Amino acid sequence: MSKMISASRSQPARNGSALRESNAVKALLIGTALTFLALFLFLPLVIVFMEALQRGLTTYLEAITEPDALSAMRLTLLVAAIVVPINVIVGIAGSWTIARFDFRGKNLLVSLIDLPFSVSPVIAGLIYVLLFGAQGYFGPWLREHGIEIIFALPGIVLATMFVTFPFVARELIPHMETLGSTDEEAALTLGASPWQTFFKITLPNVKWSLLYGVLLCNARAMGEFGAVAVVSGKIRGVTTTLPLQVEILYNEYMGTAAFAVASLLAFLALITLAAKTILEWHYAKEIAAMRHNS
Amino acid sequence: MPVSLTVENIEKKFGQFPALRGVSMTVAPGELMALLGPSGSGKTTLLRAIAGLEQVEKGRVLFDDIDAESLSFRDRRIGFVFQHYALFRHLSVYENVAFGLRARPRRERPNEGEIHKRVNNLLDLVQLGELGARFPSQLSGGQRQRVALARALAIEPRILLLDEPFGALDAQVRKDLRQWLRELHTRIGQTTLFVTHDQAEATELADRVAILNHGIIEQLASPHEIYEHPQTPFVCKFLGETNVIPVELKGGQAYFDGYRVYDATNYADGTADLYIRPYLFKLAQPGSSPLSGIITHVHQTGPYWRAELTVGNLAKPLTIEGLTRPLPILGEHVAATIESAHLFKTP
Amino acid sequence: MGDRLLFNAGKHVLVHPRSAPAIGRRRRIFDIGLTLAAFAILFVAMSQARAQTVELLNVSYDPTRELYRAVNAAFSAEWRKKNGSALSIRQSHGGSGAQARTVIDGLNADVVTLALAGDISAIAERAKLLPQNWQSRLPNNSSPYTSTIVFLVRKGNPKAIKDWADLARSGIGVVTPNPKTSGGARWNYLAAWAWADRNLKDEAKIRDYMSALLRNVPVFDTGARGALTSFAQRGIGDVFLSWENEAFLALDEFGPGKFDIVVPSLSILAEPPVALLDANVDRKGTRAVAEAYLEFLYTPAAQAIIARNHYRPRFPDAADPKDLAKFVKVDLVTIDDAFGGWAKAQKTHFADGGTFDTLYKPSR
Repeated sequence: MSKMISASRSQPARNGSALRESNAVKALLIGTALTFLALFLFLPLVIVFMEALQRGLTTYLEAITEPDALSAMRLTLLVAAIVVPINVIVGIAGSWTIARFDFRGKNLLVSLIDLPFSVSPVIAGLIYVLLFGAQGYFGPWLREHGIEIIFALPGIVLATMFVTFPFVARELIPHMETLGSTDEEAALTLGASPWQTFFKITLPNVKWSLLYGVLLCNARAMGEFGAVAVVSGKIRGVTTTLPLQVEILYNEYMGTAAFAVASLLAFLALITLAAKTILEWHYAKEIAAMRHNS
Repeated sequence: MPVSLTVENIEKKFGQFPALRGVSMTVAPGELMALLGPSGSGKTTLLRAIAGLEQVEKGRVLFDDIDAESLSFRDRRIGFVFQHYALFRHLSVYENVAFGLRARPRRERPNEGEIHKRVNNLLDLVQLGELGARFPSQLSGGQRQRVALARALAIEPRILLLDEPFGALDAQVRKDLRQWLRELHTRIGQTTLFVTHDQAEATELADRVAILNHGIIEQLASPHEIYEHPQTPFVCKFLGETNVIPVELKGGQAYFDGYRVYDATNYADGTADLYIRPYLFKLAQPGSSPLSGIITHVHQTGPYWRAELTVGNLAKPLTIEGLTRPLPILGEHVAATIESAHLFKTP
Repeated sequence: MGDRLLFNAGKHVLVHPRSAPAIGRRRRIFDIGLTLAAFAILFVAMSQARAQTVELLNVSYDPTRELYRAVNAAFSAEWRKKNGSALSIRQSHGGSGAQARTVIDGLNADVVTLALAGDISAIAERAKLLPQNWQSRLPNNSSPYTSTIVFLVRKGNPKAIKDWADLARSGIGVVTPNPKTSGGARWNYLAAWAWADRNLKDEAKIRDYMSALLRNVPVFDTGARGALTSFAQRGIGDVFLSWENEAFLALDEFGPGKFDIVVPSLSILAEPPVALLDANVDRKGTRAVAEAYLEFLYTPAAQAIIARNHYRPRFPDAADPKDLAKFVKVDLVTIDDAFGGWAKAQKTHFADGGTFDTLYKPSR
C-alpha cells in the first residue's frame, strides 16, 4: 500500500488527473456505503436502545429484570452454552473428515452441511415436530417413556443446533483443505500421538477460523427465532428464549419492555462484534502470517 | 549407532494405479542414498511408505532386523523432512525443534534443561543458533529447510528421510545447501535416504543412487557405476543426454545401415540400440563412417561446442559435443565415429 | 498438562518478547472454555431444581394474556390458602389455531382456553386428549366469558360512524386484517354479514353492502396486530374492527385521548371455550388442580376479574359495576344461529370460491 502511494507521488504529472478522478469515485462509493450502513444497520440499533430507554432507566431495568425476561435470558444462554460446544465438536470432526479423506458421497455430505442455510428455519423446526411431536414418528414412544423433547429444552437445543450447525464447519472446511495434512503428518513422524497432533497442531492451525465460526454460531444460536418458535410451545418463563420474549412483549403492546429485551440481544450482538474486532485487530499480524505462510 | 534400512518387495496402489510394484533395497548403516526418478515414478510414495505415512499392500520395512510394522509411529523414530518443510507456523523455531521431544510420553520426556540443551545444540548444528525465537514465516527458504532438518534430527531418528530437500529453493541456495548437507551427513553419520528428481543433485550428494521408474528400481549403484554402466536404457537416458542408434548385431559386431559402427563382442546376434553420449563421438572425414551427413546446427557454450549432424537414415539428428578446434561448420559434410557407447538389446 | 509445560518452557528459554503474551492468551482461551462449560452445568442443575414445584400449563390464545395473568394470580393464592401447597401456572399464548396444533403435536397442556370451540374439538379428534363431548362438561358451553366485535374510531368520531351501514359509505377507510389469514377478521366479516342479513334481508343487497365495505378496506394486513399498527400508528383508515377487549386494551395502550369505542346495533357473540385435557392431566397427576382451575373461572371472584379485563362475564352480578358500565348493551347473534355453525360459515364464506373471494375485487 505504502509503495503504491509513494509511487503515485513520485509521478504527479502523469497520474495526477486520473488519481483525482478515482478519488471522487472513491469518495462517492465510500459515502454511499457509509450512508447505507448508517441507515440500515446503525440507525435501527440506535432506535432499539432509544425505544428501550424511552421511559427512563428504571423502567428499563424493571423490564430486563422481570422474571420472564430473566428466564428467557437464562434459557438463551443455556441453549447457546449447549449448542455451541456441540457444534464445535461435530463441526471440527466433520470438517476434518471432509478435508482429509476422499470417500463416496463426500460431495453429498458437503451439501448436507449447507442444508440448514437453504432450509427455512420454520421448516427446520417443523422437521423436529414431525419427528418428536406427539403425532410424530417417535412421539408415542417418547411419551411412553416420559421423555420430553419438543416444547422443552431438548427441542429448542435441537432446532438451534440444526440452524447453527453450518457456521463452524463452513469456516473450517476451506481452511483445513488449504492447510493440507502435511503438518499433521510431520507431527506424527515426530512421535506425537493423534491427540497431541490434534490439540497442538490441527487446532492451533485453524484456531482463527474456528473462533470466527464459534462467534457466528453463538450469535445465531442466541438470535434464532423461526426454528425455535416452532418447537418452543411458548410457555412463558420456561421455553421462551430472548427473541421469542421480544415478540411476545411486542404483541402484548409492551413496546418499551420489548425493546428493552431486544436491547439485551443487541447488546449480546455488539459483544460478539467487539470480540471479533478485537481478535482481528489484536492478532492481525498472526492471522496474516498464518494465511500467507505455507 | 547408525541403522540399516531394508525394504522388501513393497507394493502399493492408488486406486487402479500401481505406484510401487515390488521394490526391494537396502540402505547401509550411515549411508547417504538418493532415490532418483522422474515425477510419478513412485519415489515419494516409497519414502512415505518407509515412514509409515502410506499403508502398503505388500512387503515390509526393516530397521536393522526390526520390522517397522511392529513399531508405533513414535517408536519408528523417523526423521522426515517434508518437501515444503511443514514447519508448525504457530510455533517458534525453537518450539518447532523441541516439538518431538515434548511430544514424548512423560516418562521418556527429557527435562527442560535437557531439551534446552539439545535444541540449542541442534540449532547450532544447522547454523540457526540466533533464530530460535523467530517464527517460520520470518525465515528464508534455506533457513526453513534447516529448521525442518533440525526438527527431524531432534528425535534422534533411526534414519533420516528427506523429500525433495532442495526442491523449493532457488539455484544458488540449492548449491550451498547441497554441500552443507553433505558435510553435515559426514559429521553425524546418520543413515539417510533422500528423494530427488535432479540427477546432478543425486550424484553429487549420494553414496549410492537408486533409480526408480514406474514403481520399480531400475538400478541401484554408486553414482560412478550408474553413469558408467547403466543397466537399462531408462537409466542411461535419465542420467544425461544420449543419442540412440538402432543397430544389427552379427558376429560380435554392431552394424548400422549395413556398415560396422561399433564393437559388440560378447553379444549374441540380433537387434539392439546404441546409446551414445554427445561427447563420445569424434568427427572424421566424410565416408569414414556410416554415420555421415550434414552439420545442420552449431553453437558454443563456454569451452564446448555443440553440433547437430543430420544423418540420412536416422529419424533424429545426432547431437555431438566437443572441445577440439576448429569447430564444425554449418553445412559441412562430415562423418561421426563412436568412441564409446552403451548397448541395449531390443526385446 | 503437557500444554502448560510446553509453554512455560518457552518462557524460560526464549528471550523474544512475543512469546510471553502468547502463553497467557492460550491459557485464557482455555479458561473461557472451562467457564462456559461450568455455566452450562450450573444452568442445567438450576432448571432441574425448578422442575420440583407443581406446575399447571394453560395453553391459550393471544388476547387473553392480561386476563389469565390476573386469574392465575388469584387462583394460585386461593389454592395455596386451601391446600397449603405452592402452585405455579404457566401460560402459552399464540394464534388459537396454531396453539391447538401445538397441543396436538405434544405441548403438555393441562387446560386449553382457546378462541373457538372448533380448535378444541380438533384436539379431541386428532390427539384424543379429551372426549368429544367436552363442551358439555362445563356450564355455558364451557365458556366462562364472552366478547364481541366493536368499532374503534378516532377521537370524537369525526366521520360519525355509528353502525355497520356507515362502513359501506364512500370515503370511509375500514381497517381489518385479511379473513383468509386471520381468525379475528372472520368474526368481523361475519358480524357485518349478520347485521346485513338482519337489516337488508335481500341476498343481492347483502352482497352489494359487503362488497362496498370490502372496497373501503385500504389494505388487508395478515394479522390483527399488524392491522392495529396500521390504524393506530400509521394513521390509516377511520375505523378499526376489533374485539371488544382488544379495543379497550388499545385505549389503555395508546392513551384515552386518541380513540373512541363505538358499539354497533348488532354484533356477533364470541364464546371462547375452556377445557381440561384428560390424557395430559392424568399422566401428570394434575387433574384435581386443573379441574379446580377451570371451575374457578365461574366463581364470582373470577367473573369480577374477567369484567375488569374487558371480557363480558357470564355472571355479571359478581363484577364491579364500574367495570360493567363500559359494556354497552348490544344485540348479539351467535355463529350457530346466524350461520349454522363454524364449519358451515367457513365453507360458505372463506373457503376458496366462497363469498369473500367473489365479493372482494382488489382495485387495480
